Amino acid sequence: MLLFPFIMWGCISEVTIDDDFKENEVVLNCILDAQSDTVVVQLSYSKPIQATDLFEPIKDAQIQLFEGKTKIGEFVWSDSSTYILPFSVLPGKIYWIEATAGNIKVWAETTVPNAINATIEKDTSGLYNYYSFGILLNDSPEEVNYYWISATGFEGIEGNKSKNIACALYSNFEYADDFNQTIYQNGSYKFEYEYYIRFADSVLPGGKTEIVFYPQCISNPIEVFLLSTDYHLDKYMKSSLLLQNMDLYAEDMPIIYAPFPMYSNINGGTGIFGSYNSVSEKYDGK
Amino acid sequence: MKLTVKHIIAVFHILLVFFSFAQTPVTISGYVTDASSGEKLTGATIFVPVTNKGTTTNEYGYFNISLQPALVKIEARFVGFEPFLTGLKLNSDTIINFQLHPGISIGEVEIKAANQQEFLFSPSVGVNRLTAREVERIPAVLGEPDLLKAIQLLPGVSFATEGSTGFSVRGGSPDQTLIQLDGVPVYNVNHLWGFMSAFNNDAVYEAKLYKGSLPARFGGRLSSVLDVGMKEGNLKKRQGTFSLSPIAGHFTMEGPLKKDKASFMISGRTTWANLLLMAYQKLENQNNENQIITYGFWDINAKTNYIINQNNRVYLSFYTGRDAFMMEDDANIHSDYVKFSYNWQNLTGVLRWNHVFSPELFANFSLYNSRFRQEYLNQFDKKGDEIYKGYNNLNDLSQKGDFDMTTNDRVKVKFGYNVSLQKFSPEIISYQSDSTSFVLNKDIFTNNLISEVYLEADFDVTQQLKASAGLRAGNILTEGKNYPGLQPRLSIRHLVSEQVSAKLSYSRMHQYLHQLQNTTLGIPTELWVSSTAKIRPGTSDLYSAGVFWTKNNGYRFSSEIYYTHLRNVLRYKDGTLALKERDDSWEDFVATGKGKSYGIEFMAEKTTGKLTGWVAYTLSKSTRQFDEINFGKEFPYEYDRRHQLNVNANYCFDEILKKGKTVKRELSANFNYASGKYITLAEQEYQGIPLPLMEGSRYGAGWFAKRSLMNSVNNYQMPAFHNLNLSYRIERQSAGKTYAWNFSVYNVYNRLNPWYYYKQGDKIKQITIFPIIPSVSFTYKW
Repeated sequence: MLLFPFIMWGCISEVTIDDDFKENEVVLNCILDAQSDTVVVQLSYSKPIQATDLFEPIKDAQIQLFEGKTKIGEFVWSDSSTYILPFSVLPGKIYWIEATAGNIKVWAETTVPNAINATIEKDTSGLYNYYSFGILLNDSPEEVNYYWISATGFEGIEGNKSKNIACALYSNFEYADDFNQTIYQNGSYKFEYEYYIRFADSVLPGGKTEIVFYPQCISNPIEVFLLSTDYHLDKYMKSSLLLQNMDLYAEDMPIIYAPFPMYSNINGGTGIFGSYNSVSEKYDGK
Repeated sequence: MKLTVKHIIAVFHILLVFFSFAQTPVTISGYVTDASSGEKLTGATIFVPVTNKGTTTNEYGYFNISLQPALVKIEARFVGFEPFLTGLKLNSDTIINFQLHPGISIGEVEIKAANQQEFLFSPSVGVNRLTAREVERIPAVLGEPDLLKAIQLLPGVSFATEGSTGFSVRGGSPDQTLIQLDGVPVYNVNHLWGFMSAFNNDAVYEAKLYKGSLPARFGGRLSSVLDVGMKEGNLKKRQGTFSLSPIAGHFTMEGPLKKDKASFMISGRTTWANLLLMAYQKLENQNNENQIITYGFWDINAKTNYIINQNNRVYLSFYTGRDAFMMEDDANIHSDYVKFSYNWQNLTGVLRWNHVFSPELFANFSLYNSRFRQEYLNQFDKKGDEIYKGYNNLNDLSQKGDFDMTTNDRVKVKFGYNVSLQKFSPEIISYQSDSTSFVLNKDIFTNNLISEVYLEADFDVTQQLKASAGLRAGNILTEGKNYPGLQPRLSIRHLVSEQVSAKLSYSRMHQYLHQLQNTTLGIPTELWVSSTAKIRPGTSDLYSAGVFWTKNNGYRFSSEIYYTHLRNVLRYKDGTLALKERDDSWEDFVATGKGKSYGIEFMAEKTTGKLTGWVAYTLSKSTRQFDEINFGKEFPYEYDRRHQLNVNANYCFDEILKKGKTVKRELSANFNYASGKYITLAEQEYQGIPLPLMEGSRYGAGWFAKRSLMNSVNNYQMPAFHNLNLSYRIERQSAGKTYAWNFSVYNVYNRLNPWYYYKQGDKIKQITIFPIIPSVSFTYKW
């Protein structure tokens, strides 16, 4: 805050960077959903930061999926500029993906998290906001879990509604990660979280854990989710949100901008190959 | 004549008397002080012309010199003071205390002696000295003199960003410079997020930067030592200073508690940057009167000393400083109250005792405590019953002894010991409310015990060749693990002529503490951590060589080359913010690597006359390499500046008498050039995938469709930095009172130096934070 007078007094100007950097990289993005029956892959090239053209998809690549050492199948190019493979991944299994584009090969591995032992209910205690929800989680101490809570719903007028993720969640859950947390008193809640509430099971005190929260920016029908992600997707999501915050706040407070490396587990390229499992409940407001 | 036993005995007696009289040196010892204040004069020269031997006073103003018994003339000299000459008949050890009177001009012979002793004769390479007066004369941003910014004008010292106090010495990181105040390490030297240092120039006597050869009495850091000495307080009369600049106010008071026996000095400083902040808030938050944002800092230096007798003196020094940022939102509805605060604080205290065991043996014993704490706090109710808090603590309790011994006229020895008990409590997080409470990381703290001894000797090998050899042996006991180590030191000086010398040095250093940094702005997100069972101490090898030349009219020139090799240096792994959980230990998120730096420095100084100043140029390179960062490839270090040029000049006009007042005027100029700083920029962008549940959502859809790609560290060099700063000082003295006005212009030709780069959408933007800035400051002394 104190630096604002100096920054305003100072001068901001645009800079042209020499594009004398390395070659474009192959980007592979794929997130396995244990509840889905299709696996979708995006494959494209990176581009210089000041280039205005769109990302160039790689159309003629060979992409294969393996479960352990068993080949599941080969992806096919679809009209939506992605590759698809009809397949339902299984909790607890290890999957390996390999993509070959010209003489470049990229690959990565993920382990789909096991099923989550949790229940989701509408909060009827009356202590919190009427639209609050509660999750009762029975975490398994034998494995390492990364949990993400969120909700989807609708906004807009009747007949012209669009589906959205909750823009913010409010909660007093003291074990949540604070990387996307803001101190914000909203009724009985002290903390605001952007899009998700994240926590790792390593911080939990043991036994059953209750999380009560209230999602904002969405209306009925609301679907509440508890996700359990693998290590790679957890780090990709966290670094994505951190980088997004950095870019957003740097517009008002440039001093806080610091280059932030995105997490990637793709060997030979960049992107993400991760997985998650989930439980959810739908509420239509009746 | 027949030789009898009687003859032999007689000859034996004669020879015995001759040799005992001729070969037993005597020691002259004593103190050199300022006659007007009683303040010690460190580095004053004691010179015996007939023997061409000399010495300098130590940091307590004490000297001892061993000579053959004879009738001798002794000169005591210090630049800016009238020399003192006396004759002595030396038959036995003699104590003599010199009180030098301040003077303006000194003759050629005096300059020569003053220049030669420290600059030419000493085997030390890469030692620079700055007095508080010299710092005051350097034009500064907003007219606020700052020791750490003045240090950045010396060769081999590079700065982080414009206006900040963070600096690197010969490629070392900021935590690799031991900064000590009256012998006590200060762990955080920043106020105002690095724009001002923790050193109040009014309380400082002088500072010495050791960057080439580090004597064995110094240890604990890899690159350099900045030894800052506080004033002791005027033993003769009471005096004070009050000064105002656009950013801060200072007040200093000193004087005798008992004339010529005991004195005190107290100096305080605070900022009114808060007023700027409040004005800004009024502009921006016109509709929110219940929100308050404040920032301020203050610091206090205090010292007292007591001369018990000729052989015993005690000193008690104290420093504390605090920065505090606070935001409070009280919407007049109790449940919506929220307060956020972020503060950091230093506290140091030291008790010292000088004892002269004999004319040949001087000792200093110190007991000190140095603490640093930074804390952030979220409070959810006015009463403070519900608090979420995080803090880092460092507590250092040490005792040390340093001895100066003169064994004969050719050898001087120093030896000593140091024992430190340190406690680190990094990243403690606590939460308490009516219904629950917890503390994270309370077990992640480190206690360590450091014990060290050292021995160093200065000796004349031949008339031209002088050497200083030393050894420091130490051990750190941490988490049940010992890390012992030996640190040899060697400096050699060859006197080519009366005006030219060549020097070589080597130092091996160990560092038991590390500072992990997330930025280079001095913002206290730095974390002091100890070596642990998993993390080894750092090690460095420093090689230096130089040629030193003085001329009789106050000019001196030096040229030095250096090479530094660093091992076991720490750095956070990339993406630590995303990878680390709140209760994870920092140890699992640091990479250990190595670094090297090398360069050549040139310096030309004019130390006397109306025009004084220096020109310093450095050509250097500094890199780091970590297996887990940047794919294991070497990358430029953040402080790597290929070229650096600093020109600093002061011109004193003749004094004039006007209306019964003595008027002094001084013009100062300072030009700086440095190659651009290396930063990490995103090289490319790539397609992002919507996060789970975000597909089809309008929130963040645009942003989440792409990500930045950074594959190398410090991959871009910003444009060069350069500016010109001027100041004009006018001082009026009358009846013991002085009024001084200082008019300064920072960045005279309004160079838009890049201070910071950031990304906004698809564009890269540059911030310049210091355009042309005029300022006025006022000082009153009595």
